[in-house]
Amino acid sequence: MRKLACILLLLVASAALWAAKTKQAAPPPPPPPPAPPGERLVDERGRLALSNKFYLELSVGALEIRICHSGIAVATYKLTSLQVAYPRVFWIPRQSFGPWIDDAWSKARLDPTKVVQRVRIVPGDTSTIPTPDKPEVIPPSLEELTPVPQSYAVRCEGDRAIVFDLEGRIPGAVLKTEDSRSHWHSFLTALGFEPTESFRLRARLPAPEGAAFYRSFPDGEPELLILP
Amino acid sequence: MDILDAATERSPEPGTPLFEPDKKNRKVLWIFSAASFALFCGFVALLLLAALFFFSTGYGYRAMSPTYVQDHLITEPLVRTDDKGDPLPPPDEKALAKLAPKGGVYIVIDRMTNRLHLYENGQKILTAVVSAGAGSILEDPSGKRKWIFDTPTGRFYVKAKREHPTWTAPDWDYIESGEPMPRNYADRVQEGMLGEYALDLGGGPSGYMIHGTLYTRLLGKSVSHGCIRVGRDDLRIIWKKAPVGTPVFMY
Repeated sequence: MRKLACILLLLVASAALWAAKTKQAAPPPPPPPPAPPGERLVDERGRLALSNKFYLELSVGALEIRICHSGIAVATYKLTSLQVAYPRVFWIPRQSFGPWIDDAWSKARLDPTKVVQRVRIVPGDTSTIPTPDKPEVIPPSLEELTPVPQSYAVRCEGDRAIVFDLEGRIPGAVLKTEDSRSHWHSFLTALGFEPTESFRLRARLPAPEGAAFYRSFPDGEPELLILP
Repeated sequence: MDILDAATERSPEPGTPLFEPDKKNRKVLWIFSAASFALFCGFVALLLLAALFFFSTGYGYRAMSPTYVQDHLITEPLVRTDDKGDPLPPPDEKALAKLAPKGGVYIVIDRMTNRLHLYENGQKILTAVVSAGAGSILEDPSGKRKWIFDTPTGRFYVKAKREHPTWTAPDWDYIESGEPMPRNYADRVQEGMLGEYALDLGGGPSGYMIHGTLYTRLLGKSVSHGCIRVGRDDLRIIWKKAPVGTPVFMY
């Protein structure tokens, strides 16, 4: 008798729960037609082209990152590889990213920040003027004035980041930074002892390309489009 | 009895073991050895496990493939909203069409590598070695004025084209060289400094230009005060190909 009462109670509770769930769920809107690959951001590209600002495009398929303005790719940097990075514990991924390609990221900024070590001109300094026995003093180039780290990140809103690892020797000035790529750092991040990005990509590229991209990175937190 | 005698007395017969375990002792010894070995193995296993845990925890990396790209495409349409939350209208098609450069001619200037690229119908037809802004700072000794000699970034247009342009030296030129400023405006005008041609880009009170130079040996170096200095032969091509209205992108 007691068993029967229990079963009945369980049945009633399940029915009530089911009813509540059905009541909560409003009739779902008709699903939008799936956009063909690469066309999801057409409007976004148009808006950015009209914005009179620089914006970035990362093409996953072409393995390229581009600096664009007014719909024109003014500079293209070839990547060697592009990978999705995910924190894992004992080989088990801690999070699954789901679909992420063909998306727009906002407020891209460099980490570490780009610094131009400017030269101050001494007014009326005649020591730099060439004479028959002394050559002209050539000021350092912007490559020498803008140090680049071996590894840097482009961070966007929503804790999304692309880490750029430069392969080879960096032309011009080099910025010495703390090695945040050490396994110990990665280990602590995966365990949750250090803040982790919600999404991270890792791009490898030849040092001259990577350095040029870092040095030419547009000011003013540009938008970044991730293209298929 | 001296020490030698005592040792001789206590020492066992040659060939007999020092410690002869009986059955019970033998069992204890075996258990002890087995336990020690197990403990050692456990410790090694623990170390291995810790190492395995350390190296298998951290960031993992997944390479892309065409299949991966297709599988991870977002299918929902992107709807941008304004501050009020209303969806933004699609970009104006007419305005977009206006952006396209006339005749497909545009100029791209890379300040970092001191290169100018001229495009026609989407094809690069010229790469010129130029001199862009030095990025240096000059302060008026009075401390009232300051100049940063940067080439600006962004989109500009060729606003005007001038043949045999003259240069009107601004104040900073006299301050930089430590020379007294001329009283007459006419004394500031210099001929031949800008080469055969100048393409005015606007921007700022004194404006920026693409022009020729007397200092051709410095082409490829960041030495200008913001303008783009070009060699004579390259400048002739740019002059011929780029009409007024040509977009110039500087980055």
